[in-house]
Amino acid sequence: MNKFFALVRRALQTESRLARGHGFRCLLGIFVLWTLVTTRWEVFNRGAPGLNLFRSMSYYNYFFITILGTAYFATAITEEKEERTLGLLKMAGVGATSLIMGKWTPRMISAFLLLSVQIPFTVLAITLGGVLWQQIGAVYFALFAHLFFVGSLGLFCSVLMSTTTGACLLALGSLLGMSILPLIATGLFRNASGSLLGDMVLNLASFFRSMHAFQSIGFTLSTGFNSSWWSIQVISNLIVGGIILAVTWAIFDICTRNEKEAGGLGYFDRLRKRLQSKGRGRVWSAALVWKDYQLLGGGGIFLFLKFALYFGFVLFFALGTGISRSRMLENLGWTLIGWSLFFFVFETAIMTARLYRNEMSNKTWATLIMLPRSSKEMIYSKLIGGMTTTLPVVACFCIGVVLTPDDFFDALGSIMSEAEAVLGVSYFVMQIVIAIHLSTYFSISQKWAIWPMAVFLSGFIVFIANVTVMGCLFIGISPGDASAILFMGNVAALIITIVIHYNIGKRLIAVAGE
Amino acid sequence: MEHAIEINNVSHLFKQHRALDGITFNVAPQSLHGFVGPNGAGKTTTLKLICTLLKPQMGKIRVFDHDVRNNVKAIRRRIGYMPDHFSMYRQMTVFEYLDFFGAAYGFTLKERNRIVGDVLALTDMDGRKDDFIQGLSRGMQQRVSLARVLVNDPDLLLLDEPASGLDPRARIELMEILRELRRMGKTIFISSHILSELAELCDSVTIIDRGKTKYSGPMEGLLDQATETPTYRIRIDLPAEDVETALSQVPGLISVEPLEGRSDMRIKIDPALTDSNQVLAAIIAQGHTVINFGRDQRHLNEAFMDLTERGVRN
Repeated sequence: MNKFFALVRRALQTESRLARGHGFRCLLGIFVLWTLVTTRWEVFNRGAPGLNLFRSMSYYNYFFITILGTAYFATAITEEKEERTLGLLKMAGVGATSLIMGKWTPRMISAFLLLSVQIPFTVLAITLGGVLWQQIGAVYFALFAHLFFVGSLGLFCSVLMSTTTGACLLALGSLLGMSILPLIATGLFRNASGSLLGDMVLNLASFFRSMHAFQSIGFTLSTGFNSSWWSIQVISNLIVGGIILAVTWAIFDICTRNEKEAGGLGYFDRLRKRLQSKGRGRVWSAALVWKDYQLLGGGGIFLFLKFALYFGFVLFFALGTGISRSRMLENLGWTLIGWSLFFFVFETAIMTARLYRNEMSNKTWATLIMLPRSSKEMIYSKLIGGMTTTLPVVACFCIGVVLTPDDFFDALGSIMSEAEAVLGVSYFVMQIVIAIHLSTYFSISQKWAIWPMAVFLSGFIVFIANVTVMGCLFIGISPGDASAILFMGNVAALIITIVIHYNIGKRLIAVAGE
Repeated sequence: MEHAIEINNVSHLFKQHRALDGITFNVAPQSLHGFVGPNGAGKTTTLKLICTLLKPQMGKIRVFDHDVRNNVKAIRRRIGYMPDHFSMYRQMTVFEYLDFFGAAYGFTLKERNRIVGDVLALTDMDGRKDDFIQGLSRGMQQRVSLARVLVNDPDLLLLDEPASGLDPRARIELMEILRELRRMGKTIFISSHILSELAELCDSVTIIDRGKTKYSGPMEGLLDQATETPTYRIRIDLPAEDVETALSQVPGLISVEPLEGRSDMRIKIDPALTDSNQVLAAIIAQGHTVINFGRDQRHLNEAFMDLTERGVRN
């Protein structure tokens, strides 16, 4: 027990000494307060402003816990594995229970504090009207249960996987699967209702849906809510979270026996090794591009597999949503264009967050930058190499355009013909560019910023900043001013991008000498 | 004469910490120069400044007459830097790794074939060229690192603790390769705190402590750097106290000191009153057998301890 308390105390002491945590809580409080003030200004224009405010806050919290909370808990044990200190802790006699709870509890306390700091402000939503204190209580209860579940799942993945990235991916993938699979299963077995298998799948899907905090929040904030705080979601999240914690404890020793060296062989390297077909072909004269094409993108085979996966997914999605036979090609084309744009953004963000950080964690950046080339050339060559990872989605996009060329160019033309639409699209694109830049900057300047953390935190920051700034700007302006605001927004976004871009370069050069 | 490296009054600060405090020394071309200092003395900072990874804040550094501030590319073409940690793409094979750096330096495919073959042969790694770096031992990985440094045929090799963490065999093999490279006319600047190796290997040495140069010059100068009283080492078939009795007639004898764990003794004399001939003659005259007699050269370790201790006292 003493070892457990020692770990918890150390973590809490460290946390309390860091200004980062206090600053973050303070910022969150300010954000909630600011949203409250802006909602107050809208009180005469909108019905139930308190409910609207609280609903937005609840969903922000939900996504915050789901995405960042998962990554936060997924680092609990993997950070010790990566630092190779887990073995030392075990040799010092710190057992599985002390280690698991000692690493999990301080994180849970920090996350709990982050949620709790908002409560006094959000309770003020009652005075704005449209929401009752019972609803606020029930939502926070649902969020705390969700936090417990996510924390347990993150910890489980942290014990199971050898790297933080792997743990984050597994945890996020599991949560995504829990959200999507019940919907797919319901769609597939809708007509099989009545059969044993059909009923079983539908009931299971229904249970998983009811476990979902997102649905629970929606239900709680609906008009006439008068249920108990102990919803199925709360009870199931607590029970399943508890079971996951127990399983984590049971598998801890088995999963933490061997330490894995950083920068090890990936799946395709091991496969290649096993098949003894070691040749990747000779290095291109554009060596840096070749390197990231091979090491980050996985080379030709992996890119082809990825293309097949994306194409298969889009095809499955297009067929699943029941496209009409008469416009099958056009619909498939638009589905390909839509999804490939989404995946392009997502892949680019992941790639840029990994591109330079991998060099730093493998300590190869200083060696690389010693080549007799300018730093800019090195940095951008790597970026080009990294961009090869997006070739499969680019191919999907091109196929989409080929399938529906007239519609696509018509749509493009109609956007280009309206200044406001162009400004709107460019503003949206600029926000993505800022988020990608921000995640890259985090990844090279912050130790904790492994790509899932960097990407999602950046996305969250940009989203919240937009909600705040645009919310303020649009208050009290007439619709005709939208173009001016979008123009100003574009200019501001461009300046922010240039500043972050410059700082990324500066940081990359500085970090080589560290 | 053009120096391979000229460092003149260089200082460097990291926030409030002064890593280098006006260090000055030169490295002659085609020499093997040792760079010695305790942990935190500023060795790695100096190496990073020389190889252009850091910009000097004060003072001047020239590499083959190029200023590190203004001629980064020209310097990088002529140097090979091996950091103090393994920095390799472990997912690559040995050949791919070297081929990659060959291509990155701008060599054609034909040139790369020749260069990679040469460096693999030099480092005795041609038998392992298709192995993944991940699966190699530490010693082998260090050889691959050295091979990588040699890909662009640099005139100056900057090696930061290259023998650190290697077993004795790998260490000896690495030193052999370094000797071979010196014979090929390379200038080698090697930082280490394994002092005994440098004593045999290096032509010249620089000792730094807490960012200050404590000694820079030929290795013999450091080893011979005598204390004010000449010291001799003698091995004789007598215990130390009897030797002292035997030498009691010799004027100017200061002390006879047995060396711990050895059958040797260290004799200190006043050079104004006597010399080594008188000491030796006095012993032989009494009928004792002298097994070994010679000037006591300071070991590099002792010189190092002495210099750095002095630094602490200062």
